[in-house]
Amino acid sequence: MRIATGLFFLLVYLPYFGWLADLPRLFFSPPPLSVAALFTGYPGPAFFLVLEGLMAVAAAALTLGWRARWAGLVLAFTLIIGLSFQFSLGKIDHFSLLPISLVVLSFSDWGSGACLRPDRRLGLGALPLSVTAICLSFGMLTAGYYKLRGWVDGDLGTSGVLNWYYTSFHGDMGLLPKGWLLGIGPVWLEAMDLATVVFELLPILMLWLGDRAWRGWIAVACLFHFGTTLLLGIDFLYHVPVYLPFVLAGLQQPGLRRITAGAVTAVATLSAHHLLLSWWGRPAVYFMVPDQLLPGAVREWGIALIWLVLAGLAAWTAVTVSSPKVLKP
Amino acid sequence: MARLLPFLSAYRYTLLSAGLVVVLILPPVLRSVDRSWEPFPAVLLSGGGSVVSTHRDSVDTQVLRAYGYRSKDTVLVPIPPDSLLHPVPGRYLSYLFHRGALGPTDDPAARRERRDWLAPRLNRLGLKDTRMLLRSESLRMPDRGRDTVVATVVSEWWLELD
Repeated sequence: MRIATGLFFLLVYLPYFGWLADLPRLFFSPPPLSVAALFTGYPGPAFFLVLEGLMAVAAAALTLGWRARWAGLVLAFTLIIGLSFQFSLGKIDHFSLLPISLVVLSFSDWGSGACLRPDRRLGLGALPLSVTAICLSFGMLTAGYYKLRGWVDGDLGTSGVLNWYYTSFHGDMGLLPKGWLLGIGPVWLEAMDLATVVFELLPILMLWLGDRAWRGWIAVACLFHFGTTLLLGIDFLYHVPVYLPFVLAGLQQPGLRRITAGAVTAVATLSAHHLLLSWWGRPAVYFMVPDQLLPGAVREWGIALIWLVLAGLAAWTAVTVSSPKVLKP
Repeated sequence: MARLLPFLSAYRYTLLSAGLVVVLILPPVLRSVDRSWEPFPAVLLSGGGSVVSTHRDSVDTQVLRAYGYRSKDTVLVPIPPDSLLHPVPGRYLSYLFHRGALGPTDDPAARRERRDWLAPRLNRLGLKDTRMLLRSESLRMPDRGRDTVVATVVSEWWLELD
């Protein structure tokens, strides 16, 4: 679980914030209740270089299990700081579950096995995973609540999903041929609205029903994100590490006992790759490839594939695995 | 302290639950009081409860579009937001506008800084770097899905860069 989370940052998605350093001060409008509100403008390039350096090193340390608890916390707080400045452009994108889950999971004992330097065991058992599940369920509830009020109107003349489609640049960002959604009749559009609201309101109930229901919901969630990536180009990639622990917890995992010298070399190389590219101003945010060299469609198909694989794994564990309930303290 | 520790230990799940409730509930309450009070980070996901009409002849939506004068023939052309703002994601254009980042300012240094940032981007797109237009438009698709879009101007604002 810890290794997969660390590798996610090194192999799939490591945010870059260096571009914020050049922005005019008129663009700086931080959320009043955020770290960025303590500043009067965007910090200079050196600040973001340090931030990116910390992120790359922390991701490597998390993967290798070198003070994994601290590595997870450093990764979470650098993300919070960087994102606070990004959201000072006037809009909060809702990425919070990623750093929050990292903070919470840092208090699990994921850093005490297959580690370069094991953490002291806290013995909290499944509690951090349960708190992550509660946060995820509550986050979904906040999204579902607003949609329930607006989308579930029994009126075939209106559609919330269509509104998403138009606001995502009329399907330009999606992977399916433009206009695909527009051929759907009003009854199906209303059904899609209803299904989305039910999907977002359901996780609290699924969590209460138990492990199998929860994993089933996780599988549906991965399919949902697969669908929004295809249809709207809204990929929710930053939710992958939030779902990952629930997908992996039920799978038979390789019995890693120790980190080999080869693994250390490979992870250090990946971390150095990110550091050097960031410092060169050619960050490799997605799939280790510098942004300029990665076509948007290839990136989105890659992300869609990740969601599809996670959906399959989650569905597999929901059907086959019998393990302790997620909410067990 | 010696008395406090057993209490904390005995009621750890109650205290954790109470803390969790506060941490979870407070942000949505703040957001519902005033949207600008939304904290970051917070356990909140995008709501977006708006709807549009499904009728084939009346689908419309409102967008903010940027326009600039093409250098070669001074024709006013739309500017793709991702190209104009790169590396800022184009989706931030309307938020920047509504927060006043592309509006008038009394601070000449800030105005100059904004001009120095926007001018090379406009030039790269083959556009004049003296002024640009920000226009709020209502887009209507009389024949939904056929790429036919009728734009009606709702409001507009000229950003003078000189």
